[in-house]
Amino acid sequence: MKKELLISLFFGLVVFLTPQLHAEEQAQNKARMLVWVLSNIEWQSVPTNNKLNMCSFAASPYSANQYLANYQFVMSPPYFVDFYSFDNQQALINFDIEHSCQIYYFDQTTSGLHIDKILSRVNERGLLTIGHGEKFLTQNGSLALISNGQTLQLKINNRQTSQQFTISPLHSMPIKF
Amino acid sequence: MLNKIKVPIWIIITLLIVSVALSSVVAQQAIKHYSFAAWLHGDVSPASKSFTQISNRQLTTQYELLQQFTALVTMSSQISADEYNQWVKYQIANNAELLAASLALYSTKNARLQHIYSVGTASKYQQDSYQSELLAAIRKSQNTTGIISKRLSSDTLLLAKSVKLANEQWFLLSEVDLSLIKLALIQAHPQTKLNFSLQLTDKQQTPIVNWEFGKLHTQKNQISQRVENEFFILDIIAEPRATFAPKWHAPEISKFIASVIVGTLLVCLLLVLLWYQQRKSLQLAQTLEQQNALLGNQLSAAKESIKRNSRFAIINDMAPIAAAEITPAVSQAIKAVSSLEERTINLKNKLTDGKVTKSLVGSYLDNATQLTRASSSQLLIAAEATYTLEQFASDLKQDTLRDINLQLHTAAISGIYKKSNQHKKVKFIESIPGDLDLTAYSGSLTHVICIVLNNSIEHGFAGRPDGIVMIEAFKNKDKQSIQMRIEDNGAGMDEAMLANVFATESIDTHSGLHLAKQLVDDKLLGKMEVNSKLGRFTRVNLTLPIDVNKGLPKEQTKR
Repeated sequence: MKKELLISLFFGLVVFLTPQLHAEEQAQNKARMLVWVLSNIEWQSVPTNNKLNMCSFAASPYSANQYLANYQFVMSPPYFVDFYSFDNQQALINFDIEHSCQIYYFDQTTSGLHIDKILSRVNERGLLTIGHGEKFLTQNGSLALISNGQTLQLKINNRQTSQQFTISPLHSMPIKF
Repeated sequence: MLNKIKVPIWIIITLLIVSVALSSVVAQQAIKHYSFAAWLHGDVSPASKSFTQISNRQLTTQYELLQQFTALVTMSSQISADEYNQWVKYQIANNAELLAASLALYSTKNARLQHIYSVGTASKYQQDSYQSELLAAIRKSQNTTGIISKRLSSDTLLLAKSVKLANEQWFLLSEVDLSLIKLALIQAHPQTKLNFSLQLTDKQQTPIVNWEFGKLHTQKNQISQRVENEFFILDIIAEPRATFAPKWHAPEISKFIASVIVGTLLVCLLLVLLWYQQRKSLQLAQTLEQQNALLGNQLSAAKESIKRNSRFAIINDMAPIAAAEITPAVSQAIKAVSSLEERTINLKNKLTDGKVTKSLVGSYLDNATQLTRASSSQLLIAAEATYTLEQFASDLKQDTLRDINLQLHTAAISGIYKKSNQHKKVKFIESIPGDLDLTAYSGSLTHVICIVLNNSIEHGFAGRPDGIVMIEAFKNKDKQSIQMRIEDNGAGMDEAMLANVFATESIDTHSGLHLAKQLVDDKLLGKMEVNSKLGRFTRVNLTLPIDVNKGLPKEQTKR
């Protein structure tokens, strides 16, 4: 009886932890992809405080921005990037008004939300927006991460042009980490 | 040129096309191999850096960062965290290969572990859950000079180093995110299904990294390159058989091979064109040959027709002459017979009256004998004329091969001409031995003699009341050929006319002599020559074989 209980407990933990581990791994890989992407962007205009603010709108605890912040010093030439994370749109907007964001990251969970309003506002300013899925590109986002199983793919919106930054040609095939 | 090649041109073209196809495949493989090797070694312009260089630089940067960090720490221990951060930021900003820096500094003085500084993901080693990893790394680094490496996970490589100074001991670590390096390498290699592996081994021969970009299928023809430095050994092994499309311009060798292929294709095209042209020429030649043969046949038929018509013309000319000879002879014979009949009736009447005397009967018998003789003589003349005409016509029509007595044959022909040209007073002098026999085509011989005699009378004696035609023949010394000469003392020919006497087949000039020469050459297998002097004479020499089946002796042929 005790043995059966232990086996059930073990399988229960496996079933419970596997998606969590997979989500963590995915978030880490996305963070790596974002570091790589940011390092391949060249900014033209100089922000007032000589740094870039990357504002992430993330509703999930397994968000790439969390791992991204662990890298601490990440460059998007010629500036270093400061990472800020928000779990609601209003907080993000308020921060943006006060401190100004140059890079916006919409996590997988938030990319599916109604972000049209904030996106259109950001796009008017010609800033960098990073999101998830093909739909994000149709919403005129700058870059989209597309995860498919164990692979992660980066797609650049060639229709969007900005005077503030240029994105180097990047590997656009699905990447398996 | 192509005509001299005995191998059919389509075989050459097929071989060329096959060789081009094979060389294309080989060239494609060679270009792949060369291009890949060039890409790997960085030999190709405008590739700024080889893949090996990029890989080496990406990995070395991580080791160098820890080494420089060590140098910074050992140089001055009184550095604040902000100063360390500034240094780290400087390193990232001035090193394109360094996407992120994860460093940690611990003091291990007096076996007491004290965290001094950390940045990036290396900060997590302060957590208790990483203490065992940290202590293991410290122990390993203290037993080793230089940087130690340890693979913590598929994405993480730990580099560490212990430094022992006179009054201080440090432990420094750097956590390398291998996936970030992998991303940079993926960006550096072509976006195709390129198969290669990258293996990193530390100085202690411990495998650190073994990445496979695509699966290597075979060890055959693999290209490998090794880079060894103070930190590690880097091996890159590639499979050139994999699909590979270099982004840069084709190297010189591929241009050369492409030129060879294009050149060969052009040669093939040229050969095809030449072959086509040759085929067309051949077809044209065949058509012309067929037309020529047809025209030849038509010409032969026309010549035969001319010969036949010419013979019929001769017969046509001769027939009235012969008829003119027969008619008076028959008439004279009839008269003699009628006179005999009248005298016989008178004798019968006198016999009835009883007035017959012996002298009367004797007179009658004498007259009867004379009349019978005269009648027989005239009938013989008519019969001979008829026979001659029949023989003449038969010879010309049938042209049979038979034995001919040249004296009689010539006399028969000349006899007709004598009679037909009595008004011109043409005198025929014949000097032909009676035993001169030959085997020949009688019609052709008659035809030739008629043409020559006709020429003498019609052209030689044109406008002249008289003339002499001399016909002589004799056996040559070789006893196998006859020399026959027909000469007239007519108008003759100048040199220009003589030179062209056989040169034309025109129906209006010398066509007769041309025809006669053809008959002598082709039928009688002899030779014919014409000599002439204007105003003096024209002489035709005929050399004829005794037996046409044997032809002329060689000596005669050579002349």
